[in-house]
Amino acid sequence: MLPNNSMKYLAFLIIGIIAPSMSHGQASNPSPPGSNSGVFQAQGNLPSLPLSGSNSQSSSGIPEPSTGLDGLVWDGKKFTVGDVRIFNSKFVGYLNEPEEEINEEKSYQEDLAKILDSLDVFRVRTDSKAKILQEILPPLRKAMRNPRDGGQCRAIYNAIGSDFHGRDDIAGKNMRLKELSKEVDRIRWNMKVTANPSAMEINANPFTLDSKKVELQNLQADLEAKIAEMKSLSENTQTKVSESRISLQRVIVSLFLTRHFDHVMIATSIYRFLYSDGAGAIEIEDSVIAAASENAKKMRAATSYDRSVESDNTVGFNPGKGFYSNNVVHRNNVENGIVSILPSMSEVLDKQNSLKLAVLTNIPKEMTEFESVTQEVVDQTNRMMKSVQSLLSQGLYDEATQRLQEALLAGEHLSSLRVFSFEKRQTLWSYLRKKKEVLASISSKDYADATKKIEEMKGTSKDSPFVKELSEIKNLQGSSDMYIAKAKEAASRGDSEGVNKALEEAAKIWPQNPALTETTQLFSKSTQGKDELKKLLQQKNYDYIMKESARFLAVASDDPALLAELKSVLEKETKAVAFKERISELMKRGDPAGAWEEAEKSVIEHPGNMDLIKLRSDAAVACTTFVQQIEKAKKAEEKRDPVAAMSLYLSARSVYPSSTIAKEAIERLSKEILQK
Amino acid sequence: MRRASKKVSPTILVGFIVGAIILALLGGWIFGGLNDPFRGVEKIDPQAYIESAKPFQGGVFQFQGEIESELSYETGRGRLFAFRVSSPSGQVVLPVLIPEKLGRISPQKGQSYRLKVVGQERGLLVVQKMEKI
Repeated sequence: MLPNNSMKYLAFLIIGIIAPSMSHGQASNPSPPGSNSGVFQAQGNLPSLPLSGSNSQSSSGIPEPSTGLDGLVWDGKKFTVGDVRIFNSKFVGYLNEPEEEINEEKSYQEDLAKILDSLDVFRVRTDSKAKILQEILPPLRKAMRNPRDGGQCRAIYNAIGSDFHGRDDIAGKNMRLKELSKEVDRIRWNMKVTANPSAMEINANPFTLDSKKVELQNLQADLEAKIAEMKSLSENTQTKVSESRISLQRVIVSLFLTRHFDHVMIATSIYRFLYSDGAGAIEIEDSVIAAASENAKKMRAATSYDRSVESDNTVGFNPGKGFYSNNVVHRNNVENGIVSILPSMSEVLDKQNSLKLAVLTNIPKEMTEFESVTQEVVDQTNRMMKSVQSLLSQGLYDEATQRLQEALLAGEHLSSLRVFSFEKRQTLWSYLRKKKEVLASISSKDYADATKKIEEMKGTSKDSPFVKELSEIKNLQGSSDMYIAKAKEAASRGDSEGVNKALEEAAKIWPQNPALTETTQLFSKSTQGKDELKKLLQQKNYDYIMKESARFLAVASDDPALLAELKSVLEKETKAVAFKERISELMKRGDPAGAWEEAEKSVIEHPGNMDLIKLRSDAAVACTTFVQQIEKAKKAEEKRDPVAAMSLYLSARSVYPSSTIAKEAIERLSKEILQK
Repeated sequence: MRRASKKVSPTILVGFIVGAIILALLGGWIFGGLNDPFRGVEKIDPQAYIESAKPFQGGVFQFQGEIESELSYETGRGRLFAFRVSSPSGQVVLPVLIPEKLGRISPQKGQSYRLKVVGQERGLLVVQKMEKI
């Protein structure tokens, strides 16, 4: 069970874990605020996705993150989208990075384990520093040279070296201090002797006294110089010790912030080893925290420091009060030459570190806390990686991807992640790419493509994260289709405004609806077709209209006037065709008079139909007498000579008794003739 | 004794007989013609009639024809029949009205008649007399 503080620090690290897992919800949540997932939106926005939770407390009491349009909020702190994107890009980079060489990694881990074993907390107290140092330096040097090491071991090695250089310097200064101390004692004695005349002195000579005074003054000046040197050496020694300690603390904080947890463990052990005077209880200097915070803010660090100390010591001897010293110390703590502490870091990592800034005030302040938090993270990461392996073997790629993201963000430099096989990384990368493609399709409202890809993903991974989306996509597709049906219905009524509105709504919901494209093209063709039909009607090109009747009927379907005209033409033309067929049939049967009569009727109904006129002429040739009599009868009728007309019709009927023209005319004229 | 007879010249005899015959024929023609109701009635020109019937209004004509069909009946006026008449250019069918006053005549299709007709309004031929042939 971790202490409360450890939980807090662990939570800080886990922010990095949560952030990328929110990317799914972030990227695929195009809904404007207030959109409701359960209600169909005419605008076609997909409702929020399941991963976007509320900023509520979980059952465990740990705040849960929530996504917004510009990032995520966690425990009252806001993280921008940029951070989420950075984590995503880092994850993508990891998936496409070859795994670490197993042998290299194994060797590296063995070296680190050796170092840790040598720095056992009990050995540090019992064995000599020199012995332990002899044990840890070779594996540290070896690890430092391992390609797997990213300079972390070197930083620790340098910190140790810096400490020992300091210690050598301090040893020299301590010797000098001892010498000076003896000198001061000697001068003090001499001054005491000089200031008090001896009883053995026989001749008291005032001039002698004056020379003693001078000697005393010289001794005082010498004493002041020695004491000033002692003070200066003492302060310098203190500063050296402090700087060495701070230097190692910086290394530890830096390793912690960059999540090199293996190295944090080693560095804290070395710290305890080097500064065993209550090592476990040493509080990290506030200045380190402030400096780390400042550095994280700017991602910059100083190349040089002004830690100089100015002392104003006035040392003297007052006969009444004895020796005195006025010591005024001015200590500088200025950093100069600000440059990037990680020169090779890209802008990407700058942003990543800016996330750390938000929680920097929560970094541990004690070495024991560093160790416990680090150990917990290492343990959590290893467990997550086991979970990833298990999920992968079950084909649950979505869960595996999420667990891997979590593991990566907590312990990207840990061995379990570094040796994770490239093949498995690529499997998850392939899955993640498909997932991104689906999100892109949903985002661009290309629902057909999204549906296709979601179905494909079902074949890849057993856990589909898009079940709800698939259902909602189908609802949106249905809604779009309904608007298209509405547009067609409006078109049939000739309501062009209604057509436009319905098509607009359909396009808003699903711009790439194939039915929408089809309908739009149909309407476009319809407009072109109408123009063509009108022209053909004007030209009386009924034959072509008849041939394309089905197309023109569809084209004119939304124009009642045009449709009526077209139907009339088609009706007439159908009759004309029937006439032609009947005339031809009668001719074939050897009934030219009957054919002529049929043709005569058809020409009256279709005066411009050249086919019928030709057929009539052909028939007339075969029954000239009958045709002449009928023609004459008609002329007689026109001349208001009904009796002659009657006579002619009767004559014609005698030639062709089945004549309907003659029969009708005879009936008609009989009544006329008998009328007075 | 044979009495010498006085012989009639054969020539005179033949002449007498021929003369008698001629007289008989002439008498018959003269007396017969006087009794014919169609005597002196103009025969109709069917071809001219079908070209234009109106000029026949007011004229009296005769012709022979075969009943083709009954066309119509109008109370107070009579029955309209179609008569097929021969003409130099072929068969012509003429509409002829048999007035009600001649109602006792019941012509049947295919029967041939000799008719005396008068051209009335618009040249319609109305029967004055008709005899079955």
